[in-house]
Amino acid sequence: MIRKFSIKLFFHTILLGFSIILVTIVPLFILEKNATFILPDDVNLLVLGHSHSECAFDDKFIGNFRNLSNAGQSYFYLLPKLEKVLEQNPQVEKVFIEFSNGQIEERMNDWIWGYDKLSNFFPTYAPFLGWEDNMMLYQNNRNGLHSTIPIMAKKNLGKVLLGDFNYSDDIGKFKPLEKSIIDSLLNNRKNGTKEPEVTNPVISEINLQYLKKMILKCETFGVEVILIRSPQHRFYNYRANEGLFQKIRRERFNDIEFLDFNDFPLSDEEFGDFAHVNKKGAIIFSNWFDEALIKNDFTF
Amino acid sequence: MLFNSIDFAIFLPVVFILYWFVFNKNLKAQNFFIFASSYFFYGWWDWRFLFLVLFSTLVDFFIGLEIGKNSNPIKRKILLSTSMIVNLSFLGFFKYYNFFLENFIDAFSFFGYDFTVDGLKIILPVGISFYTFQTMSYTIDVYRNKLKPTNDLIVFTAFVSFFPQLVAGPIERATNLLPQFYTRRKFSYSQSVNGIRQILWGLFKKIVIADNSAEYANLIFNNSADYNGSTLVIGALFFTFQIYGDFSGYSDIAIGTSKLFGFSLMRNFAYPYFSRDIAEFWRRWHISLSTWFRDYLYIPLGGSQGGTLMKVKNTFIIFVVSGFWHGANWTFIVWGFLNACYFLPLLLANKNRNNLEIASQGRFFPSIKEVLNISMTFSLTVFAWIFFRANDIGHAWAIVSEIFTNSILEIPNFGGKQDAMVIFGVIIFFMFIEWWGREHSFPISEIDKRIGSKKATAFYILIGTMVYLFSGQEQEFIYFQF
Repeated sequence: MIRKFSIKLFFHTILLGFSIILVTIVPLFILEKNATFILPDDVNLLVLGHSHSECAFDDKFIGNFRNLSNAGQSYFYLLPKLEKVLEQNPQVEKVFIEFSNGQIEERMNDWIWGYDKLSNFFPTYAPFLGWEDNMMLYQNNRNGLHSTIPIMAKKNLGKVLLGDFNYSDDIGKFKPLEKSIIDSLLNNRKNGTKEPEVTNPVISEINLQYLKKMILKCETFGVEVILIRSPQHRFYNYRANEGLFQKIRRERFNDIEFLDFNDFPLSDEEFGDFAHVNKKGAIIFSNWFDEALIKNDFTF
Repeated sequence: MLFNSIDFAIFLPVVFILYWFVFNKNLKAQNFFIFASSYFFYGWWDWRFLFLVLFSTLVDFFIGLEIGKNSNPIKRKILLSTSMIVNLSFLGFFKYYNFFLENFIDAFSFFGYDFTVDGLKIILPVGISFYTFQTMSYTIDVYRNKLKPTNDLIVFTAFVSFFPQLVAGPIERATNLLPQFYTRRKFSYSQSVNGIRQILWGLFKKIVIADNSAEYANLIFNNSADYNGSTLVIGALFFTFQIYGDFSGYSDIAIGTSKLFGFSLMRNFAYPYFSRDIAEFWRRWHISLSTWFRDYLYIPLGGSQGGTLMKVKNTFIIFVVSGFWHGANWTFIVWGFLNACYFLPLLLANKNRNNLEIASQGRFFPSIKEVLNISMTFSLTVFAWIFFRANDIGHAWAIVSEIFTNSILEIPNFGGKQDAMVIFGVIIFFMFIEWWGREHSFPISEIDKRIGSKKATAFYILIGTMVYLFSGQEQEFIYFQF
């Protein structure tokens, strides 16, 4: 009897395993083949990055421009997005990639395989990641990946069942920062409470490698690539690594144009916090950026 | 070790194989292996608290033997009291020490005596409320001559620590479980298959229903000040399904696992959300605890035999104590009090035993009266759960106050509404299966006989795949904290 039980249980386990593999893998192939990242024909300028550029570039005010930034997104997840967008949008001529002080920091590893970011971004971009990318995630956060795979499978199965192959509205956009905490942050400073300065000498090699891959991808598609740094408040604590940041930029990305808006003239009221411009700041900066693009002169 | 963890997925098959293929030779070996596996299971969480389980076991084992030997009623009473004092002292210290301390300080400061005493940082040993009640029931039953004390320490240790139900019940009676350790278990094919089915259904309840409902229940309860009345009702509904899926799911996995080892545990839930009145609800919710309080507290207090005043007093005592059993917080006490208020009119009108059978027995569709009664009972239950889930009384009151404003008529508004709709859809599917199978001990019991083995196989695969797909929101079992 126990033999019969074991055989039956084994048979059902195999069937279940097959079903699980099916609902995990098949949607990945279907989405990889059918996903659309098509942008309007007149969009030929893109910006990709994290929350800094997400809050700074209001594409309503910038001609032929689309903001595809997403808060907390590392270059690891920006790469497949960039690749798909360039594949399906031959009209794109220029790509701006946000490169700011925080992007060199070791904490960027967490933005790649830390569970928060993994569970947030992996489900969306899994169909477009390569074997090596998946292995890298597995090696660095096996448990996190195990927990995220079912979330990814559910999300992608849902997309396939609903026939929802359009990613264009789901891959980042300008998000105005409505709330402002700048006054309380400035008051804290006045009262002697400072945010700790970030001067970690350890850098995230992997994040920088994926930035390199993004640059190479643009070059493969014959698209001009420009690194940018969105406006940051003078008290932003990651500015403390400026020396290291400039060193890395010079040593590794010297051949890539760098537009630095770090000290772009904005008042305190035009920031939401020390890291991000607010809605008002975004309008000022975006209008200026639009004109600068037309004039091809980015001096301020 | 959590039932919904990889650790348990490895532990269970290993123990199953060793139990039936290596330790199957004789009864002693089987019992010893159950004891050893159970201690391993518990020690995996925190081995230090094994000593507490062991101590509690030894106290009741030897006191049980002494009670059995003694015929002097005073000595027997002293022995029983010793067991109660030891067990309740442990429970009181680990679970209620800080609560009583804080309330004493508050009470003194109310009268103008301000002093501060730091509470202790006490870790609540997992399952202490469950195994304490189980060992107490043994000693009480021996005292009442309902059960002969066992003189086999391994048997008694295995009974107290039996891993499927050690940390969150069902709270077994010695009269049911202990005798099962006296006879060598033989493998039963049909019992084991049904055990696997029950484990599968328990995992579905826990992982798909409870953990996914928890995401929205936590979101809404933890930020309740930001939401309107209708959203708070949605939050309460999600918690209603979370707690049912969580606790009854655990019980199903426990009962199913026991079946794999040839044991039969008592039923703990019997479709409580299909109850037509609160009395029926309490016969179907956490049955092992309700009957424990009935047998060891309510009846000794006089039950419903005395006058009206005694009935009222006993009803409030049992419900408030039951609430307090869940945790050292006034919210649980208010929850118990509220349920007593729901229950009392039925008791006084002698209508508390009106609905003994499951709703619509022998029919698929309920009558309009049944629908109305089930809806009313369900609404009262959801309302009471708000107090159970809230962080404190003030929090519960704020939620209830917001619900009873015009904002209950506004459109619910919270993050991830689309995903929440999917979860609601799954809950409807779940309740449909529960309704369909409500005349069985669990809805998919012997499902192959009802729909055929091929369809049953497809159903298992569907349920198993859903468990996988919805498994991203892993949460601890709520009742571990009790």
